[in-house]
Amino acid sequence: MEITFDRVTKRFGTKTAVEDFSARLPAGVHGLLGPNGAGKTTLMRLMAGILATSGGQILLDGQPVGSMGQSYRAQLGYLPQQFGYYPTFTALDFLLYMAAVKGLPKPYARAEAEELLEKVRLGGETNRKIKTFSGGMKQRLGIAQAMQGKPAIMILDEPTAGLDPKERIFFRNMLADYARDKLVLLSTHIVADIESIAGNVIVIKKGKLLLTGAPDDILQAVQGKVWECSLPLREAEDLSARYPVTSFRHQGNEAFVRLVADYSPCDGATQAPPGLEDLYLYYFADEGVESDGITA
Amino acid sequence: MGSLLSYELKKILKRPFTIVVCVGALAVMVFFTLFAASQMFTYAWGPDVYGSYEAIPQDKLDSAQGDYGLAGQQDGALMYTGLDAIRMEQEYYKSFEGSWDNERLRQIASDYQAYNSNPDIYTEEIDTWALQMREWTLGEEMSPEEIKAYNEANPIYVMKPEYQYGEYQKWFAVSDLLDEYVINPDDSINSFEEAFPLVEQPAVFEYHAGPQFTAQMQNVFVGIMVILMLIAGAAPIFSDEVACRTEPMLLAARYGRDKLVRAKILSGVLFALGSLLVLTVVNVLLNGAIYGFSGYNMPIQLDTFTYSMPFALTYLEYLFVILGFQVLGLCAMAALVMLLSTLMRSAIPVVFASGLFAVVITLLSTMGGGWTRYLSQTLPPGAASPDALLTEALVDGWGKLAVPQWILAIIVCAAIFVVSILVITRKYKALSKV
Repeated sequence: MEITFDRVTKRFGTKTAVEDFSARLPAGVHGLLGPNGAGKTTLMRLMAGILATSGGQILLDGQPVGSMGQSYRAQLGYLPQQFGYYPTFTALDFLLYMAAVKGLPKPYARAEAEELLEKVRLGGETNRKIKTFSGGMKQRLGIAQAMQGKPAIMILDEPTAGLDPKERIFFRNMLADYARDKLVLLSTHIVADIESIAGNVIVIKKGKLLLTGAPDDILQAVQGKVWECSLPLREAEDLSARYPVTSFRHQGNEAFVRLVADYSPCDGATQAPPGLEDLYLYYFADEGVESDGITA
Repeated sequence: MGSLLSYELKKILKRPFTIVVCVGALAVMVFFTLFAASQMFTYAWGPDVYGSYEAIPQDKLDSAQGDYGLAGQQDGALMYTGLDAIRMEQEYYKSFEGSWDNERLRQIASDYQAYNSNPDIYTEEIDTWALQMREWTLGEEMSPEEIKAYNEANPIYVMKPEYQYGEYQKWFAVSDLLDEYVINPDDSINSFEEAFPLVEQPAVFEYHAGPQFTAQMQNVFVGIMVILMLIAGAAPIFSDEVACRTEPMLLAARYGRDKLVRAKILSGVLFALGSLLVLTVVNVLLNGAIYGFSGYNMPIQLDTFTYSMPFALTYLEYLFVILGFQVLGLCAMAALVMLLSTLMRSAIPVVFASGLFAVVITLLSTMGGGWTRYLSQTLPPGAASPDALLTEALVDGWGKLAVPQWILAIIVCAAIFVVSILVITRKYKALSKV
């Protein structure tokens, strides 16, 4: 199974959200990385068939998804960025309703819904109204919804938003287990999530494809550009004003700094192995990023 | 489709706003039905109450004198209201109930005339109110000068209270129906066929306040309340998916653009029809419990309220005609509300837009005659009130078309329904080509 984006463009009036985007997505987990407004959600909505392309096409195994209709949507699991729900429905009601919209047979749908609720740790809340759920519980319900019917293609837009670190780790493990033979497109601001489960990373900026490849491969772009050093506090502060910093830690009168720079930023700086956060910061330092408590 | 439909209905029925409107509509209808019954009144003269005097307990008789002594204080009569008045009226009707044909009508009219001609029942005072009433009756056939001459030649005197509030009360059951036949100024009505040309002999005549109030309530309150319920229930059907942010998930799901859309449309229509059914059943049973169920097999032309109806129908058939038009008008209105629901991002503007549409169309009927009234009675929700269609279509103006207005209303409502449904389904079908 392979999804192909063939020179896909999406315009909203005069604004171009996605421009001439081409990529091939075989089975596996694909992490979509980019700052706010980069076009991640638009790209995912295009892939989910909710938006029409302004140019180019999206193909599933060579067939335009637009012409596939139900047969394409039957293979989709989609969690939008903002998970919506019906306030008066219970968790079980909601999953059974979505199962009906997805065309799952009734007895199967019920058994699967109960199983999924257990899986996302909502087994004890099946008959509780969703409006009483916390943000994390709603998000887990949304994830369960996306997994209904074991879809071959899953599109998850910010699935870990609102989850606490324990829930995120649990979700990552669950997804890794689920996605062995499936195609998952995952977008998140939390770089660590992509780093830990995505076999392929797609980096987009202003609607255009910037980089794509396995994490180790794309990290080559910042190989030799990540530096660590310990400096007196004032010098460290000067440095952090001039370079994108991924870590700044006080050590008595000194500070430990990890930053991204093309050349050694100071005497005594040592090169460090790059991570996705470094890569992200290298390309998007001017656009802001949230990551495990680090803000650049 | 079945489970999708049941979930869509569940969504409608569980919305607090819908529940409040439905309960409110039922409460308003029950209130007005009971209020109308409480306003019923009839009189009795002293202890010689005409009809089933025995049926009224003495304590009620005593309290009635205290509570409702309006007439009694002045003329020595008792005025009964509410259920007591209804039971007494039912007794009054018994003298005239049964099978009516030419012979029976002639006999009743003759008795009525004889009773009215008895000089012993009158005072010497001229009854200006009765003269006024007669002028209204004669007004259609005579000039004001002719009426004046007729009244001078045939004066009406004030009836003595013991007759007016006594035995004469029973004649109110048929007096309106018989007046034209008895007065007959141009000598054109001399038989049952001429008095009731659409009614086949023998015809059933019964106490018919039950079906009469049921039909009136169905036309007015049920017609309005069911539109309110429909708007409350159908407005969120599509718009709430945007407001709840569930639309993307639905659009990405297998049946989210076809079967689900059909289930939503069907749920809106079923909710509207279900609301109509519930209100109708409550209306029929409530009025039946108050006034009884007699009269449903009576021709509507034997009731002064529906005397001019141009179609030969019994009350039961008439009620079904009303229901038929309401079903049609509701389906069209439901489709319109759902169409608006697909165009807006929240139920609130849909409620306002639909409500505004319904109010404007309804108000058009009050803006004089001509095309405004015609339009009002051809478009939903006005078309859901067939009373106007069946009568007003006969007057001059836009109603006098080659195609009777009620047929045009059917065509217009059906067209609105079909076009709205097509637009909704096409909108989602177009999305599936994405």
